[in-house]
Amino acid sequence: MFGGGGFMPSQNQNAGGSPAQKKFASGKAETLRAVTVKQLADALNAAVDDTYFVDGVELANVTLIGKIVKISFTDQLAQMEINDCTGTASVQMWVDQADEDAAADWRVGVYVRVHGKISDFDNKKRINAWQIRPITDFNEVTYHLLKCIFQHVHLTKTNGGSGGGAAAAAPAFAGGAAVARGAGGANEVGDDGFTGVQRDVAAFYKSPEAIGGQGVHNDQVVSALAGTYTRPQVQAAIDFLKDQGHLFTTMDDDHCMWCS
Amino acid sequence: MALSTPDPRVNFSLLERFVGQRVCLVGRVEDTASNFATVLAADGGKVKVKLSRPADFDSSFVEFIGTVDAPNQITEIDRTSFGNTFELSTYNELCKLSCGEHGVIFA
Repeated sequence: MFGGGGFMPSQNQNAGGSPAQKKFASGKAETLRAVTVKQLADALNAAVDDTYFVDGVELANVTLIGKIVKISFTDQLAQMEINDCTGTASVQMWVDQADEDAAADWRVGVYVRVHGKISDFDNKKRINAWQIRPITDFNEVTYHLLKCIFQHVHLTKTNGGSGGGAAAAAPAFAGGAAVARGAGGANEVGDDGFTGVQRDVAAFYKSPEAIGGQGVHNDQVVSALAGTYTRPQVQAAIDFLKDQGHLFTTMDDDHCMWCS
Repeated sequence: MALSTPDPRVNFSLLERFVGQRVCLVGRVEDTASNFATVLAADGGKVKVKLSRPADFDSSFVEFIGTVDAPNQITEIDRTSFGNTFELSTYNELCKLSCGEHGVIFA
């Protein structure tokens, strides 16, 4: 129904792309954004004509969740207000015969997932929905709101610059500052998200002698860092780096390599 | 589209920040006695919920909208069933992020 299912990169991210990409992203991109009612309300307050922005990127389609607090049906039009604990949004949907069964489940107190577009008609702004579906697994509430945070962070922290989101976001603090060995103490989390011991263990795996071959045995790392850290400290750091996906095991559980 | 007063999504430890205000508490109903329910909040703390309706819960997880009376007690305004399988630990992260670092998109 909607290409990609996620949100499109911002316009300036495509500015340097090939002409074909530019053409694709120009005009009103068919994006789908997960939003809170608070974000929608802020976007409507700051609207320029009928263009709405969240985090500097234009909205096309939106998806939101909320509990129905008010609902009425007139002819084929369902009008409701939904609340997601950040605000109350007006939502309407034209209900045809096929939707009538679904509409029977829309009642006050029911949590729903809405997909739609912002419509501005008679000076009343609302979401014109093409789908409204009751939520049955409430982890969807958690998931949706975390997704709103993720998209907000993705669009605000990457500065709309080039490069993939994750790659651009992660080293935001690294800023060229050479990280000294054991900087910040063994257990203090540095700006790169690593503690001193984790950083040093990572550095060992990234060193020339550890790259290539069939992986490095844990004991080798322990002995290399023996003057600085104890075995349990090093082992905990290795486990952490494995969990985070930085290391993968090779011939057995005791041999690891850095995911370069 | 209106910004009604937001109801922050809280765990037990966040409650004390909102005494006298409305909050949204999701948790597992552990026990009910007279018009009180004991609810396990997302961070594992126990909250007393003074009920405004009979305690006929039809799911183990419940979302309460309520007013915070004390750092360990709220008075129910509304409730919604949240099913019998709900991941509280993930929801706890949402509480922390939405009341903290990323509060700007929630309230």
